[in-house]
Amino acid sequence: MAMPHREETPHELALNPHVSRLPVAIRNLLRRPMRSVMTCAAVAISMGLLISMFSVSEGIMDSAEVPLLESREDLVINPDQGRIELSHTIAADITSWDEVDFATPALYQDMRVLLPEPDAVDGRYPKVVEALGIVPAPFWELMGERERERFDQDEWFTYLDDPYFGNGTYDGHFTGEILLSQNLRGPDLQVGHVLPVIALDRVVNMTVVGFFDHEWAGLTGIADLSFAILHLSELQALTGMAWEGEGASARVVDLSNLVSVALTPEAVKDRAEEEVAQRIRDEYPAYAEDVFTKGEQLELIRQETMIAEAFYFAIGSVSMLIGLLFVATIMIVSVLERTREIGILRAIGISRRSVFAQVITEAMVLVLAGALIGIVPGYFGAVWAAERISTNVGVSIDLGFSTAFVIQALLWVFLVGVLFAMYPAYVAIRMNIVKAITSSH
Amino acid sequence: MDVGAQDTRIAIRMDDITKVYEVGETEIRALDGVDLEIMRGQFVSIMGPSGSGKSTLLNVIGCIDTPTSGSLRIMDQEVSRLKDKDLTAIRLSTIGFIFQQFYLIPTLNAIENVELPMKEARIPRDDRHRRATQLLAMVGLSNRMSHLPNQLSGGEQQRVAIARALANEPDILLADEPTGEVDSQTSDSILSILEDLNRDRGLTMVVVSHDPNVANRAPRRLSMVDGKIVSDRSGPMITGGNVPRGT
Repeated sequence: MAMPHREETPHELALNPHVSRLPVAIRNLLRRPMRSVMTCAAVAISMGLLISMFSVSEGIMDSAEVPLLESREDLVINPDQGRIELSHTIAADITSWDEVDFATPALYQDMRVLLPEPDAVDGRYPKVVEALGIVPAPFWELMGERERERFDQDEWFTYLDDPYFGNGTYDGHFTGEILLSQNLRGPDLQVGHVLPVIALDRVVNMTVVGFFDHEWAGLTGIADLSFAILHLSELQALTGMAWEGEGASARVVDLSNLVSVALTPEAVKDRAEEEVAQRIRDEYPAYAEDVFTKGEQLELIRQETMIAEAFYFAIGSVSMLIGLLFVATIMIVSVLERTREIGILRAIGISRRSVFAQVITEAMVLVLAGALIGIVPGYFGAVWAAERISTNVGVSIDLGFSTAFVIQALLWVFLVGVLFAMYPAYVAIRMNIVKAITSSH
Repeated sequence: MDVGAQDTRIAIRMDDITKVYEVGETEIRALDGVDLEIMRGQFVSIMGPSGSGKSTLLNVIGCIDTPTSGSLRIMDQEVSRLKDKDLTAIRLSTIGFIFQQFYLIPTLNAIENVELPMKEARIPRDDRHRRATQLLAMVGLSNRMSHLPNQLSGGEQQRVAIARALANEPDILLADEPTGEVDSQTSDSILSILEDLNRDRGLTMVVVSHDPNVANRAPRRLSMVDGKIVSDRSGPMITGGNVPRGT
């Protein structure tokens, strides 16, 4: 026999020009240019969705975790329900401990306000807004760098013009300011305007003392937000709900629902978190169940964000699978259309392995071309989704979009693409040669 | 016929070969106990009406179809029970196949079509290009090498197919109605090429044809009816040299 045939070694496979099936694959795909373009477009859309959904998914996780990871909050007292009584007293006590740098209370709750609305019957409409009551200076100290960049309002955090308490001298016995997180600024609500707030079933007219705006641009692409600032002390004073005692001995009731604790750098280094947490539990047994270390908080955040993350991950994955199923279907059609050609190849001695590799190569050209194109819509889709989430949900997210992420997504699509191309390739190599040659295609 | 005997002069030997197709509940015996010996260098034609089994016989000899029973030896190797991988290797290196409808790969030009089996046989790029050029020159297509099949006439396509069939220097050339799709003048030139190959290179040649003018060009002529060889006639040999004559 003139030319003994043998299987090539992996080394030969790598070196032999025979393996370069790419030009033939491209020519085969160009036989049906419109079909190939449409298939690439389908993969591009799938890849775009995959990247944008994965970016949002990663972003949700990052956005939830990073502020905590970067913050100086090493421990928190955070009762599931209810309030922390004497929170400032507790914070001051914890601050005095050797391992602790400082502790500060905060108040998170929904608040109903009556926003100006010229078209409404009484000129107002009620809206539930998220209120954050803080002591500005330690709160600023607590935030991580990224959070500070977002707020970029260090001037405001030194704003101390509170008419109700010692001309701005905080004595550590009240919460401080209220930040209303929704976009409230408008022609009818500016600094100095009165904003009716519903508290204890009555309406209290409070003065808007400031706004600060967020305009998060760039990759995060976050929409504008305008935080209204009110004096919490004003609310407490006006409602009387916060006072204890009478006359000169009257003092603000010390209520909050959170106490954040920042350890000293040495204590962080010594991993004294658990030790301090245990001391809080021992000294304030009423909150023994409500003390969480940073690690425990991260775990809680992961549990809470898992559903959202899984949702976006599922959308991305399903879209990718649909795109690749499309490729597989197109490749099956392509293979069946070339039944006779494949039969001829087999008849003249082309091995099943070569035919298999050729079909896989063609599928991979489609998949990779589509996937590469899909990076662009994926990026812009992710930015768009982040903006929508920010605008509609009021939660800003940092996208998980990066070169490493794109390479990861490409690899993933490539691997799954190979898997999906196997069936059409299998159809091709299992053809009966005689039937294939005599077929009408 | 002594099945066990080995004779290196024999190119193709079939012993009691049957090929049965099942169509629904009906059995069709395309080959019905065929015994055949074709010596190396012989030029054999097979004639017969449609459905007589001649193409099936060619497909079985060409290892693109397997017999239901019986023994088939190609170049002294038993092939009837080989696996697909081994049959593919035989098709690549030992057998050249020419089809009625040429069956070139439409996206490859003439020289790429000829190079295709050589690529599969791992022949280095320069060698296969040189050999493909020589083969196309031999069939008179030096000036059509970069043309795609749809830019070639039927006769030209068939000549490319002949060059492709010769790419890996096979021992046996099989042709199924090689002139069925071309005019009589082109048919004559194609048959001349096949005769030259048989005479000059000592290629074993098996040609299936409806056309008596084609079949009669072969020194040995088989006729088939209902899956059986019903006649086996020999005429003057075209081959030169000492190539043994068939039975």
